[in-house]
Amino acid sequence: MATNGKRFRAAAEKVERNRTYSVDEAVDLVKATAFAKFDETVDASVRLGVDPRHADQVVRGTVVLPHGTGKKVRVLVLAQGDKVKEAEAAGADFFGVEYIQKIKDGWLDFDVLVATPDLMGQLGALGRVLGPRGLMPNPKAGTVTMDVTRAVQEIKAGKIEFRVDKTGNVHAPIGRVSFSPEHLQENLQAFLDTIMKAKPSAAKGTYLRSATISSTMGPGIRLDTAAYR
Amino acid sequence: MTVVSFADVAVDFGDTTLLRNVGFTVAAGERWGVVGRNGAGKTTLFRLITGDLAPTRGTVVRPAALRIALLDQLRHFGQAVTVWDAAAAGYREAMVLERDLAQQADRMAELGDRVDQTDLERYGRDQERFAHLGGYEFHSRVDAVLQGLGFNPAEAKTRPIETLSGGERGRVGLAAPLAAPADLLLLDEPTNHLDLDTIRWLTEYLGTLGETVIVISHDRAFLDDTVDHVLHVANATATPYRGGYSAFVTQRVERELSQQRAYDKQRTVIAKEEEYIRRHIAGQNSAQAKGRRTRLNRLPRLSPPAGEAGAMSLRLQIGERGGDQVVVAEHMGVRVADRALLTEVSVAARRGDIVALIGPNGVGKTTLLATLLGERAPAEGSARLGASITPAWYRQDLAGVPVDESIFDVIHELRPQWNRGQVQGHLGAFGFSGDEVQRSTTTLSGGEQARVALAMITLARANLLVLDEPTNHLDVESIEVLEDAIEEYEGTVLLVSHDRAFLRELATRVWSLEDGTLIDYQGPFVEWEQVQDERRRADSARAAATAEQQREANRKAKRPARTESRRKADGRDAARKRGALEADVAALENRIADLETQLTAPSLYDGSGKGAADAAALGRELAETQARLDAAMSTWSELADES
Repeated sequence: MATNGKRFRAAAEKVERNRTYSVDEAVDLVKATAFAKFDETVDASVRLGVDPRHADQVVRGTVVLPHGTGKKVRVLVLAQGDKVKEAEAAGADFFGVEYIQKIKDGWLDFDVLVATPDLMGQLGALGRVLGPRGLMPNPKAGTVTMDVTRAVQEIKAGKIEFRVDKTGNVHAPIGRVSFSPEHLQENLQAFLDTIMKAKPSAAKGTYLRSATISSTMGPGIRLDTAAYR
Repeated sequence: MTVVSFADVAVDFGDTTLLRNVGFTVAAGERWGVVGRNGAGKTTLFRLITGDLAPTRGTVVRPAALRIALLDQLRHFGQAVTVWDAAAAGYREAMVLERDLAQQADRMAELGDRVDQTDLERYGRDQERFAHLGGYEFHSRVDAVLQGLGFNPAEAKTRPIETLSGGERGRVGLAAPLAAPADLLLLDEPTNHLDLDTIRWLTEYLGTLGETVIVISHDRAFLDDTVDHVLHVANATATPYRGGYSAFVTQRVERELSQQRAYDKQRTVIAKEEEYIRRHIAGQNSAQAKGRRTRLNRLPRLSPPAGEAGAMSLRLQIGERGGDQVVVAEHMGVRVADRALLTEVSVAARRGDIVALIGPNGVGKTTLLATLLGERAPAEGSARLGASITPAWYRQDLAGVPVDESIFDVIHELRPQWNRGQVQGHLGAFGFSGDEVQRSTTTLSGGEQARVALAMITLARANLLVLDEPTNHLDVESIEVLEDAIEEYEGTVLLVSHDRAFLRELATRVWSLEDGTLIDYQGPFVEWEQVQDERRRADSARAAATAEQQREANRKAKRPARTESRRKADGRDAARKRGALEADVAALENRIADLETQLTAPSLYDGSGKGAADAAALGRELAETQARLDAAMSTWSELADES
């Protein structure tokens, strides 16, 4: 059985397992419990009172984190004509219609795919490749749009997409350990606010059951979610 | 998480109680096997789980959103046209949505800049639902299942359902629930009509599946490999057991034994008490005897372990001994229309052999039997039965059972001299009692028809039995009875079956149909299985070795680039070292020249002690410098040689 290392155990001792922390306390603690030699990502995980097997209880959406995620996101824009220039100007890493063939050949070195609606017909056949990896562009996530400039800029500025998994949890990165506590707090607040706004009308009982933040290698720190109930 | 729970469930059909006091709970991820006699109520349990049938009493609880995939014994394909469509039946909604999304995408392509928000919202909504229905994964899942069941997925997309053979239809019917998105998989006799390789694949596939599985089966080896719980349906109730099939058999025997012991013990106590009451009721201890009588009247009576109703009793006898050579084929070829099924079959069955004839579906096992028995002419070579051999053929499709006749008449026609009691007695041994013998053969279930066929075959008193899939419709108890009967049989048996437990128990020899010919393995089925396992392991080891060689070749193919760059780097390094050495050599040569000049100075040889000492020191330094020069020259020439 996997066991925790001594550095993790030392970090976990700083966290009271049965206690919930306020956002500012939790952010200070996540910074204090990060011990890895790299700049760890801070992740937020939220347990929701929804049944994702029902299509009307799927929680999905996007949020532009005010201070970004601290990670460089590689954006591919599938567009033709003037939209290619727009994508280039907006800072997309890859752009052009020729990438459809590259994806067919197995190339997938990008994190987000933005497509203009006129190319969705050609993308349909790639659903089996892109869909299971969560890379299929979708109007709901703002990745099927004619406004390529805005889409690319938002993604580059720290727009993240979230989606409830089959067990009713949502996970998302909200920054890096190197961020200031204020920046992490504001990002977390923006994420939780968006989750609350995305509450499906069909959800029954307590919607936000619990929320936890953690650094990549560090222990989980439970948040006090009383304010969101 | 509980997937389905039965609490005190009873099912009545009119005055007949089919099931009562049924209680068990199936948790998520568990694998249950349902066993019991034909007509005991196993399929009724499935109907209760799916909600097709409501219990007369008690409750069946299942989560509201539970997705159930059902394989029933009858294979329906709905409106599916191709094999692939039939296998993907569980994804019909996703398939419709896929087409709709493609149309919407085409429309958006046409509109270009003029696409409005409503179009995009609809597309987004549908795309979401498509992903939710497993739309992005179902193609690969259906392909994998079809591949496992022996179909070519690409071919299946164009192959019409009508072109399928019986066995293939069975496999396509199995593909649909296996590929469907479900939380609970209900499989009713999934191994019927499957060949050994496909059963092995199915066992492995069910092992990797995360869903909860409930399977009705009479295949003991399959159940042992697949399930972790057994539900035994018998005597109008269902009893749950923890563990695989073998564990169930042991537990059932133990349970029956302890029931019998408790019953016997109670009977002894009751007899003792009754004796006491009888002796003392009118005497001095009358009050005590009356008290005991009251207590005895209140005592709840235990019942003995219920025996199985309608059990079959089978005895296979031969009329005459027959020759030692039972079936002989020499250079025989078997052909159907233009297709050659088998060539160069040279084989002979000896008296007393129990030969297992195995091979994939559609390879020609039944055609081979017909040729060996002389019902078909061989395409080449010869086939003949030995002297005094009388064969009897139990056909897979039960075609030997006459249609629309009463069971009584069927037997009476074979033995016209028998009176009513004898016919009834014979049929009673096969589980048909009382008025049941007047039932028409068309109203019989598969299992009942199989029992009639066996009742007919025992009358033939043949010394060669040809049994083509005899276990297909029989329940476990009947299979075990058939096993015992074959074991005691003095004739020869040609056995076609995909029931591994049955073959392991009986077969003394294996005829395996592979690559268009017959391979005669002169050993029991268990040994043949071991040989096959070893062969499979060797094949996979060979495949792994080939893959490793391929990877190594790929690595080697990449290596020259790395070696080239390394060579260049080494070359640069060597050149740098040579340059440094050349500078050293030049410096050392200069120093030597300088030292030699100093050594020629007349002051060193003026006869003074200081001059002699200086000359000696210069001489030493010259020698050392010369040595260093030699070493540097030698290193330089080595480097020059390497480059």
